[in-house]
Amino acid sequence: MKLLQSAFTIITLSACVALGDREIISTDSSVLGVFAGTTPCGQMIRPLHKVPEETDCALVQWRLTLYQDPVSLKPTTYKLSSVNRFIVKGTNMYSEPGTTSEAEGKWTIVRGTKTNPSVITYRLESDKPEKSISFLKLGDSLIHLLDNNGRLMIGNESFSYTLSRVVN
Amino acid sequence: MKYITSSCIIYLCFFLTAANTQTNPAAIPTTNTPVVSQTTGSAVYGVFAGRTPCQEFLKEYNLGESSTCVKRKMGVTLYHDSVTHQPTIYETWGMGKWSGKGKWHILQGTATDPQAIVFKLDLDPNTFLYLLKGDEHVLFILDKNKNFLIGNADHSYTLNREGNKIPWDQQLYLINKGSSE
Repeated sequence: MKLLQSAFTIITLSACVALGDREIISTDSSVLGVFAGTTPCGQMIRPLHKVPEETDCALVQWRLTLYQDPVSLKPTTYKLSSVNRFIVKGTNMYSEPGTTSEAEGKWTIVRGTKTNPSVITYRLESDKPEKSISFLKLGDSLIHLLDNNGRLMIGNESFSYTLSRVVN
Repeated sequence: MKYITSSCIIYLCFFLTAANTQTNPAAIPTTNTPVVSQTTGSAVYGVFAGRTPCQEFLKEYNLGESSTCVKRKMGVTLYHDSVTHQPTIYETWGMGKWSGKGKWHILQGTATDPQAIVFKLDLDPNTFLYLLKGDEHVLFILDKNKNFLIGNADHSYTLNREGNKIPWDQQLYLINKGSSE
């Protein structure tokens, strides 16, 4: 009987811990959102992903976490994990396993672009201005990369420069 | 004899007219919905294409269930009147039963953005495909309520304006050098 009680207690505690973890993830107010997407490997984004200008690179898989102050909800830092791949000549397949990179820094919310003063953009700051990039906030769950003139980056028939919320 | 000659001329004219319309796809489109008025000066406004996720699109546009469908290569060519620039017809591909031609219109406003420009494609008399105009080069596929469809880590519901087709070798070089956009 004691064995049964112990087993029940362990199962109950395990369930509580598992639920607790899920709760922490879904209510973590220090994370504004986790956005992911696969984009072309345009020259503008290469410095951020540490891809040299002349290197073969056909796509970048992004996972961008935007953090905020849990009390004021103001932007704090971002963390970017990415994998880039090129198309292998001959097989026309994407390279495996790809090249990974990590980046982090501060981000800010900026209202307005050169062409539209009413929109909201998320700007990933960098000590080098050429590495800073901005996203247009399309909605709570979608952001789209902007070029240096504040215009939407144009993708190709395979990939776009849109990132989608994948967690929260 | 005169009657036979006249008949032959009429048949010849009919044959030539029919042949002409077959080589000019913009002349008389095969439509999902009937195109009532025929514009004489249709020009291509843009060709937009993308590789999108699948499940949300299948569900939203009643395309049946397919658990194995993870992505779709789809696109649309939009035609407008070459003089007035008013929308005329569209041609879609990669959209299952909704691939084909029909009429399209320009609307203004969504639930969250009254200024937004939305392209409304008549798929059939009761079904419409809404595309939000991001700018001249980028369109976002919306749901029936004109909300964004959300993509995933691999693909998004975004269509990009296509440039001129070039040979694969050149395309491969440009893609790997990051200059395809």
